[in-house]
Amino acid sequence: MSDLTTRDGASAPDHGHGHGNGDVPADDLARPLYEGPGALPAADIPHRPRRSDFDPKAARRAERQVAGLFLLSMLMVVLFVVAYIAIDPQADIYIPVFGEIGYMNFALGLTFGLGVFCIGAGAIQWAKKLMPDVEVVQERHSLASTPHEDVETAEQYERGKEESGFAQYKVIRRTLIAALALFPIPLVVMLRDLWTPTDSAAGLSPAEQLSTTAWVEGMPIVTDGTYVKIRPEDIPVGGLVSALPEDIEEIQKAEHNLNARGKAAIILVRMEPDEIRAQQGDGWDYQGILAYSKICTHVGCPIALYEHRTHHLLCPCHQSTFDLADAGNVIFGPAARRMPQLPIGVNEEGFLVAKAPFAEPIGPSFWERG
Amino acid sequence: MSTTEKVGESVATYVDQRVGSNRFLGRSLKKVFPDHWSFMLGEIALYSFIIVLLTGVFLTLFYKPSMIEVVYDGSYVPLKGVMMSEAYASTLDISFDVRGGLLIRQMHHWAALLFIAAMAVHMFRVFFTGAFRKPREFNWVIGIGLVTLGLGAGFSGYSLPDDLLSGTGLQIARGIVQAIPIIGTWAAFLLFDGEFPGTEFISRLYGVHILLIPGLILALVTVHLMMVWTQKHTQFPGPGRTNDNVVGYPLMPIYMAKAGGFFFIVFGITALIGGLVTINPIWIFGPYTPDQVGAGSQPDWYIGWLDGALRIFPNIETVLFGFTISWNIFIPSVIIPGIVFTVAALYPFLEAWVTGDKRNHNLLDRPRNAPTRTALGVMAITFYVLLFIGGGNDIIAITFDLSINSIIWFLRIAVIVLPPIAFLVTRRICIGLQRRDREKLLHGYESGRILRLPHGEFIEVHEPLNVKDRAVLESAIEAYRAPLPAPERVDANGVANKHYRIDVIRYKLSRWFYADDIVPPTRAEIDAGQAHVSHDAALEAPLHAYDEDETVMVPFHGGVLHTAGEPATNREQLEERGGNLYLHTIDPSSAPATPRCRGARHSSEALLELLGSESSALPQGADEEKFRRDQFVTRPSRPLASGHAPLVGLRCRDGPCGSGTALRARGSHGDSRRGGAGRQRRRRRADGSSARIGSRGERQPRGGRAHHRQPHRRGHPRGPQRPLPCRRSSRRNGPRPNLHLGLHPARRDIARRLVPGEPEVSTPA
Repeated sequence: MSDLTTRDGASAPDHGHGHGNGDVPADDLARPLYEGPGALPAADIPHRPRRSDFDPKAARRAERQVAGLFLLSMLMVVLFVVAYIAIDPQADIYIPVFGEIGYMNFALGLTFGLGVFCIGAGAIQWAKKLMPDVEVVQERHSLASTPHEDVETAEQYERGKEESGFAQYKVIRRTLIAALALFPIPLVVMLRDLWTPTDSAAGLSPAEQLSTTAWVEGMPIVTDGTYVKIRPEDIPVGGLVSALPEDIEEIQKAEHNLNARGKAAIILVRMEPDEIRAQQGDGWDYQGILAYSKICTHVGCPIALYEHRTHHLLCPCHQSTFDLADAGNVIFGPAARRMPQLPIGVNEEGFLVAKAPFAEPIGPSFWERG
Repeated sequence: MSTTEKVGESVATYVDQRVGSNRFLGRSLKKVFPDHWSFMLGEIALYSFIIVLLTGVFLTLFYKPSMIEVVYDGSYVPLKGVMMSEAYASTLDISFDVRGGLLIRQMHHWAALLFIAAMAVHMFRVFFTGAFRKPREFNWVIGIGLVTLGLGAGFSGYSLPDDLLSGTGLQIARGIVQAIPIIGTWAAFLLFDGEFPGTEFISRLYGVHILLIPGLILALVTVHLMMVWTQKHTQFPGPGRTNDNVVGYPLMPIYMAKAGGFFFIVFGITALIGGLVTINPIWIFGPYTPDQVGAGSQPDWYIGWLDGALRIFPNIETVLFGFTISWNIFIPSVIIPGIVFTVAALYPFLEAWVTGDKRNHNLLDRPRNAPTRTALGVMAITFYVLLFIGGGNDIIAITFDLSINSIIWFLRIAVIVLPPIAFLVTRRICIGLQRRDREKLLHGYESGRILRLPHGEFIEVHEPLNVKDRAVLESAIEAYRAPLPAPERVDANGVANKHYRIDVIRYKLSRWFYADDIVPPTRAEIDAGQAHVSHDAALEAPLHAYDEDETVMVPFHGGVLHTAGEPATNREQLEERGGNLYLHTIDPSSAPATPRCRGARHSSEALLELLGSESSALPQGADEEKFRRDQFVTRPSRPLASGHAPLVGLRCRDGPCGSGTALRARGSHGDSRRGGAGRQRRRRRADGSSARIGSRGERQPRGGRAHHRQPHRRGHPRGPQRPLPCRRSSRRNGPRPNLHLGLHPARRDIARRLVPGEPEVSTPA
C-alpha cells in the first residue's frame, strides 16, 4: 500500500481525499495527499544495516522464521482444544521446578500461552528483520492555539455572556449557583440506607453495637469449631483454647451473619496463679485460667500466637504484642490498648462460664469509644 | 490490488463519507513514535490492563458475589461439606470445576500484579527523565490517578474470593475506616451494612471492582493515550533529535507490528505464568471466619508498603473530650498515603514553580542532569522500600532469625534517616557524572595510548566523541538552568514587591534545586576542545597512516557503524531501497545536518588501487569477491606522500607481530582494548625491541568481549569486521576492534609491501 504515501498522482487512490462524488478536480489528484510538514524525511543519522537488508538468504531465513512462528501458534491452538477435551480436570502432573501442579491448568496455560506468544514473537521478528529499520523525522507543532483563535474564543464567550444576560441578571445567577450546589444532596442522603439495623440491633447506635458482645452473665464457654463446653481441668497449664459463647450458632442462624462471632471470639489461657501479675478485675480468672478477647485492639485481626513461657500474645497481622500475665497490656507494636479481659468462673455443673460481659468494647478503636 | 484490498477500500470510503475517517487515518498511519526500551513500560501496563479486562469478563460469568452461606459440594475433597459463602464456593468452582477457570483466575491475578508493577516502573521512568514537564503535567496527574485506582482495583479484587486471607485484609480495612476521626464509625457501618463482616460487603465491592473502578481506569487510560497521541511522545537526546521533532518509526507498519506483537507477547507470557505458577491458592486458606487468621498473613505486593507503615508506626492514641483518635492507624494508613499521592500529583507544578521553567520539553532529561529531582525520586523510593520491608517484617524475622522488635525499631528510625541520606548520595553521584560528562565533552575519550612527541613530551592521546555520544552529552546544555535571580524588595520604579516573601522562598528553593550543578561547556568550548583532541590525533596520524579525509565510518570507540559499500545513514539506506517508502519528497535542506563520523571511506577499488594492481594483490586461488570484502576492514597503512616513515602495528591471527618501534611509540589499537596502557603486557623480544604480546592466541580475553577479539570471521558475507554495536559510554574506552592490516597470514606479503622497510613479520614459536 505504498501508494498511500507516494506523491505519484496517477496511482493515488481517490478515497484518500474523502470525496465520494467523483468530481474531483484533476489538479487535486496531482497535489500531494498530505501536504506540508506531515512528510517524513528519513533521519540523517548513522545507520547500521541489518543482515537481512543485504543478504537475500538472511531475508528468506527471517521470512521462514516469521511464518514458522505463526504456524506454531496455530498448532498450539489445536493442542489447546485437544487438551481441553482430553485431559482429566482433576489430574495432577509433576513438572520439575514447578512441582506438582494441575495437569489441565498446565496444559491449557502452556498451549494458550505459547499460541499467543508466537503471534507476538512472529510480528516482532517481522518488524525487526523485514520491515525497514529506517528512522524517520516528524516535526512537532505548537499545541497552543493561535492568537487569532484565542481572540475568537474570547469573542464567542463575550457574545454568549451578553446574549444570556448571565452578568446582568444577578438574582438568576446566584439562585442558579445555589440550586446547582444543592442538587447533589438527595444523592448523598439516599446513601443513608446503606446501613439498615437488623431487628436484634434496632435502636442501637453504631457505637453501642460495637460495645456489646454475645457474652452475658452465666453464658457457658464452648470451644471454637466443636462447640463443646469446657471444664477447667480440660485446659493444661500453658495451653490456649479458642472459644465462643454457647449460643453463637443460634445467633448466627438467627442473624444469617458472622457478626456476633467476630466480636465474641475469646481465647482461654492457663498459667500458674502466682504467675499472674495483674488482671483487669479482681478474681476475673478461674484457677489461673484467663479469658481475653481474641480480636486485636489495633485493627481487628484475630490473635492466637501465644508464647506460653512469656505469656506474650502476638498478632500475626501487625505484630502487636500483649502480656497476658500483666492484664493484657501492650508491650510492643502498633496497638495502643490492652486486650479486654472477660471475667470467668464455673457454673454448678462445673463448666466454665462468663461471670459478666466484657467491661469495655473489644476490637479496634472507634471515635465514640472514649 | 487484491480483492480483499478492494473490499477494504470500499469499506474505507463508505465509512469515510460518514465520519471522515480517512483524513484521520492518513495522518495517523504515518505518525512517528520514538523507540526506546523504557517506552515499553507504559505499554506493558496498558496490555496487562486489557488482559485483566478480558480475563475478568470470563470470571464474572462464573463468580457469585454473595455472602449467603452454602454447603460446598464441589470436586475439591478437603472442603466437601464445609459451610462457606457462595462467593468462596463459586471461586472454588472456578478453580476446580470450570475447565480453564483456574488458568483464567491465575492470569487475572498475575496480570493485575503486572499492571500495577508496570505502572509503578513507568512512573519512575517518567519521573526520572522529566517527561512530566510542560506540556505533559496533566498526563502525569492522570497517571497518578491511574496508580491510585490500580491499587483500589487490586485490593477490591483481592477481597472478593472471601477466603480467610482476603477476609483478614477486609477486617484490617474496616479497622482503618473505623479509625478515621468523627465519621469513621458511621462510615464503616454504612460501607459494611452494620458490623463486620455483615452480608453485604462482597456484593458491594463486586460492583466497585467490576464496574466503577475499571470504568474510571478505562476513561483515564483513554484520555492518557489521547494526550500522548496529541502531544507526541517524548524522546531521549540523540543525533538528529531536537525539541521540535520526533525521530522514530512510523505507526504503519513498524510500530503497529511491534506494539501489536508486544501485546501478544505480554498476553502469552501472562498465560504461561498463569499455567505454571500458582498464585493465591484460596483452597488452602479455607473459608473466611472472623475469629481465625493464618500466621504470616501478607497482602499483595502493592499494599505491602501501606501495611508496613501500619506495622511500624508507634502506638499513639489520644482520648480527647471522650472521643478516641487512633493516630497509630489514622496517620500511617490515611494521612501518609494521602500525602504521598498528593505530593506526587503536584510535583510537576511544584518543580515548575521552583525552577521558573516555562519552556516546552519534548526532549527527555538524563537523570544526572537534574540531580535534585533524581535525588528526590530516589529518596521517595527509599522511603517506599523501607515501608515495604516493614510490610514483610514477620517473614524477614523468621527467614533471617532476627528479632521482630529490632526490625521494627530499625525501620522506625531508618524511615526517617535513610531517605535524606539517599537524597544526598544520589545528588552527589549525579553531580559527579555531570562533571565526567563535561570532561568528555571538552577533552574526548581517554584512549590509554601514550604518545611521545618529537621534542620528548609524552601526551595521552584523546579521541574525539562520536556523533551519538556527543549529541547525548550535549543535551546537558539544554538541560542546564541557572537558579532564579534574587528578588528585589522594590522594583526599578520604586514600587514595593507585594510577593517579596514568597519570592524569597522561591528564590531559595531554586538555589537549592540547582545547587552545585556543573555548568556544561558552551558549544564553542566543545568545538574548541574537540579541535584540540583532533590535533592530538593528528600528531598520531603517522602511526595510523591513513588519510583523515577518506575515512571509514568508525566511531571513535572503535565500533564500526558502517562498512564501506553499505548505506551509511538512514537516508542512504532508504534511497537504496528505492526511496519513497514513507516520503513524498526528501528535501535535504529540511533534515537536520548532523556531523558524520570521521573515518576512512575506502571502497575496495580504492584499496586495491592503494595496494597496487588487483591481480598482484589477489593471492593465488583466493575467492576474489571475498578477498575484496575482507579488505574493507583493513585500515591500510598508506605510504604517506610527505615522506613520513609509515609506521604500523601489525597483528597476526596466530600471534603478535609488528614493528617494535611503532608499538613502543603508541601501542596498538588491539591492545588499547585491554583498558589502558597500564594493563598492557610487554615481553622482551629476541631482537631487544619491546613488542606487545597480544592476548589473541595466547590468552582468553576477559569478560564477554571475546567477539571483539576474533581476528577474522572467516567466510562471513561481509568480511571479518562486522559492524559492532555502539557501546555504552562506560565501555567506550575499552574494546576496539582490530582494524589493522596483516590479519590474514596469506596476505602478509601485502602487508610487507605496504610497509617498506618493516621488519619481517614474525610469529612466536
